[in-house]
Amino acid sequence: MTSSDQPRRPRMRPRTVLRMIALYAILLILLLPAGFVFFWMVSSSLKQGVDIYTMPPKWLSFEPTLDNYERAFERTPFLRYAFNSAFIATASSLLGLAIGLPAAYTIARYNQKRLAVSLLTARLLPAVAFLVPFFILFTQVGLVGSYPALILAHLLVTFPLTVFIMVNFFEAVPSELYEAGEVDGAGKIGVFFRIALPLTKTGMVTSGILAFIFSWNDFKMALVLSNAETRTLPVAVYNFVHEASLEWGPMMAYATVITVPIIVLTLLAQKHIVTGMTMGSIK
Amino acid sequence: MSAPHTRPTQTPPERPTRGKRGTRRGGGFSWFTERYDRFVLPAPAFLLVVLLLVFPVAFTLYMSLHSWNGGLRPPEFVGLDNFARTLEDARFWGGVLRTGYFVGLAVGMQVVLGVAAALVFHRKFVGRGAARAFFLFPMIATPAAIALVWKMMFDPTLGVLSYLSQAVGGPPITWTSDPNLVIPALAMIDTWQWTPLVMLIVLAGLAALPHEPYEAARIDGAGELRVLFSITLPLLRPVVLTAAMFRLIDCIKTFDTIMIITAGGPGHSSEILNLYAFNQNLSFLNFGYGSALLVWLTLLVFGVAILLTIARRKGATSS
Amino acid sequence: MRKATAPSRVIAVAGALAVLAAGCSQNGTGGPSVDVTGDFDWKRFDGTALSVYIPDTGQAEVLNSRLSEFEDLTGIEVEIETADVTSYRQNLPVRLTARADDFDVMATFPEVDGPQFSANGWYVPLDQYIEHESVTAPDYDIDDFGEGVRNAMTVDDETVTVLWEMQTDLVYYRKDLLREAGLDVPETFEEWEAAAAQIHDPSADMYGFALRGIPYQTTTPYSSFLYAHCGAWVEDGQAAINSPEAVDAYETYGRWGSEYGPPGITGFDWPVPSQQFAQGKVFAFLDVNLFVGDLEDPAESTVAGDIGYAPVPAGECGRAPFIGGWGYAINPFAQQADAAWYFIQWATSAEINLEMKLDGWPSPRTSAWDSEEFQANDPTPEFTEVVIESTELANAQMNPPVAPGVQAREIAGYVIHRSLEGLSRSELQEIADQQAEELQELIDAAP
Repeated sequence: MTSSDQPRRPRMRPRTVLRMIALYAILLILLLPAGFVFFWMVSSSLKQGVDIYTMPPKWLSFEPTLDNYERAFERTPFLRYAFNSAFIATASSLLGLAIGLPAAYTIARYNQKRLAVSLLTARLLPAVAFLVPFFILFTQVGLVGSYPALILAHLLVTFPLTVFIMVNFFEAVPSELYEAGEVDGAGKIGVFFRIALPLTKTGMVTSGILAFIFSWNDFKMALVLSNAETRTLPVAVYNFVHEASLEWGPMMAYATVITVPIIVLTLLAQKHIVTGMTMGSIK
Repeated sequence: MSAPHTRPTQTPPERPTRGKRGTRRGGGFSWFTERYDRFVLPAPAFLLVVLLLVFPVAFTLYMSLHSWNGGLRPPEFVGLDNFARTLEDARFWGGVLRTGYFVGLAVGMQVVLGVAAALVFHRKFVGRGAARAFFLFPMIATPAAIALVWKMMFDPTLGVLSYLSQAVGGPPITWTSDPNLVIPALAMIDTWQWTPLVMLIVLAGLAALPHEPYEAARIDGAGELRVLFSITLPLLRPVVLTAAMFRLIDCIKTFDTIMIITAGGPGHSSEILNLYAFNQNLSFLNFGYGSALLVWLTLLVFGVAILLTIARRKGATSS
Repeated sequence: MRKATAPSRVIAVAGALAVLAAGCSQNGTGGPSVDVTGDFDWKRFDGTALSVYIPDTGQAEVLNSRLSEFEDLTGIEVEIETADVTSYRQNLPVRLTARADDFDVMATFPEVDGPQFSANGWYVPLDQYIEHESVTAPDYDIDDFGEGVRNAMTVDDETVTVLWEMQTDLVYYRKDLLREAGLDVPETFEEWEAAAAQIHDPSADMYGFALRGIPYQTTTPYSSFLYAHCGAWVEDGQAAINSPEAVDAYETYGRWGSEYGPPGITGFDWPVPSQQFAQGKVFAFLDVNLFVGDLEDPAESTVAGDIGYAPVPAGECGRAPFIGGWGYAINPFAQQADAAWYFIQWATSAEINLEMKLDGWPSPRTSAWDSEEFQANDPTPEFTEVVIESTELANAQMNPPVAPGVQAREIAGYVIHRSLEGLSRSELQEIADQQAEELQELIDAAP
């Protein structure tokens, strides 16, 4: 992202200063919607029930309280759900890598268009079409509600993404390197393990992180396929929807807690996310 | 690492010479894997796809030809009856139209805003990295959680958006309860979430633009706007098309946000085809009819994907 | 890669057929039946592990807090899995479709689920347990559930569930506003409308009457309009949601909502009318009896202490409240059906009901309402009186008795929802005719 050399190098003239101000003003407008939604989520999570409903809203002048967090964690086994989310996301992204890497490699190396297309169908099919059949299938084999069932279902998300991203990385390796490896007697499988993989570590980190995020975020699969033991965080928020009331406070507390790890991850690994999202799409 | 906006044009690798003596090592198995590495390596991936896709696809196709409500009685074969009924179903056609409206509006806004944002982020300025990270949040924040925040902001009782609008003299904003405004409201939320993706793709495209046309423009003394409209945007066309294609495909399949915020309401005003299929299957237990809807939905997604791929190819060869 | 598609197609079809065939082979309808003799003994199923899958309508807290008592009493080990109501409604049928046997106790709302569940063979008749002295405690006393409640637990003359709650509907109103307006508590639809019209003042952010607006949720409050206007959902196997009486009821519902309702009423979810009422924005609303706790809690509501309770308005055919509710049932594919009944009878026993009642819960057992402990501590006797009166009266069905319940609910609810736009009678009639046709299709499709 560094090659943004403009044909003209701006010098600091009054006009330039004005333009910088305009730029930051536009930037502010671009960032405001995201900022506002997150501000509203976090501030609501810190409000008492009555303050949540007060109009005009108390922007910052409310008495902050952690009651909602306390209630959220008391009423539900939060740690268990957090573990489930993290475990399922980790396992499905690692498995996605293990299975996706060799396929991405041969697609890149041998230009296997047809294989690429057949794997791509997994990305095109609407997820709704999987819910009922997966449930029936997993019930019949006695896996329903289990971690393996959820991890397999989440592979639908993580696996195509991994392949998409990794094909780019394997293609970026000059083919001379692969060929040299073969000539040196590494063998074809050896080339994959000893040359292709070490050269694409960045790619693995990138696709791993993104696969993790999208699995962590997934709602539909866990909504239908998980049970009390394996429920993930995005589904657990709905524990606070009752027949006679919506508990907005604890829901916002949950929403905040679910989102924060992802935001931290973005800040730490911005570069990977930028590359990954770009590559994951372009193909 | 800069993301390429198109694949590096690479001469297709030479067909590897099969079973070359030099690479043949050891006994039978490794000879096999060496010779057929192109099939052996992706085999797990292929098996996974078969494992995950075959049953759901077969189930959906099978059910679409049957009538079944999940009870103890076996499904009853009805031929193409389910498909015939969809054609007379006003709710189905409504769903198709709403899908088009929602997707058109959402992707349209995302593309315009995404290109604009990319032009901003393409400039160098202090704090660009942090601002860009911040801009990406909506795309990676958990949709199910964020949808709840939107639901709360649009709530008729405690909706802050309505308050803000009234504070500046506008009407109360109860868009998600208004049959005429619910789709634009949902499209706006989708735009909030996915503009960053379009921005990223276009940003990568901008980084990879050739320098020559700009040099020529500088010599001609063309103004900045002129450069933007007659050089930058035309050059970006393939990239924008790519971004639009990915958004279109995913946008048709939007589920979490709409399900959580309106569940298709008020009335059926925001029930896009995907939600209607979900309702027929999971709320009404009409697995036969619901599967027929899923078949249509899948055909729609594939149709759009194929059309756009063709458009992209044409664009690539003509430019 | 092309070659692989042929075998995969074979695998696919084979897989699908195998699963469906496996399902069809276990065709013994009616589910498990009781096969025990001897005196009743709480320890009969000592050592059994039981799994319970229910929605949390607010009852789960008490249930969980007392669960160890049940485990000590019976030696049965229980695991409770709860879900929110909306996802429960979606997930339970999928689980039953897949013939899942990993839970023994389930929950059902017979007014909504009844026709479909019984057509699908998803109910285990409970009478065989209730009437069986070997498996039902002598002090269980099923007659403690009033007649209206017993009806609500029955589908096709068979008891399919025991309710843990008793929902009925009533009008919540602001006593202070009514007093200021110098009015008596209204009785009829005309009187309520006149009061709402008088107090309605949008410029002061005060609206006359709030109702639900989302189609599939409107049938609940609308049922008390429909039956009081002498209408019904279905008459003699014919969809009647387009009858002149039904259209009268749409007109009233729609006029109240469109002329005296708060903005955005067409999109009101079930909790919204009560929230708006709690914010002091609405004079009155008609809904189920589950909101009283929050509304009388000063931390949640600005109108606590000013609330009056009245039975649903009277029309040409009198007042028409309904009774319904969630209840426990046995999974037809359960592995531990008998032990499941033990859990159900304990969770619906007089003792647990009393504790729930004292916790503010609308218990379905008469003894809980009549108990001294409750009567001495009742924070809202007026509410209690109205609820008891309503449940004795209950004559409305809150949901069209057609399978699938959720779809029937949505079809009928659509007209109600549209009425809130303030449509004319002929427009309403036209929409009602369309929807009646759709409802009729469902009725005719039923086996």
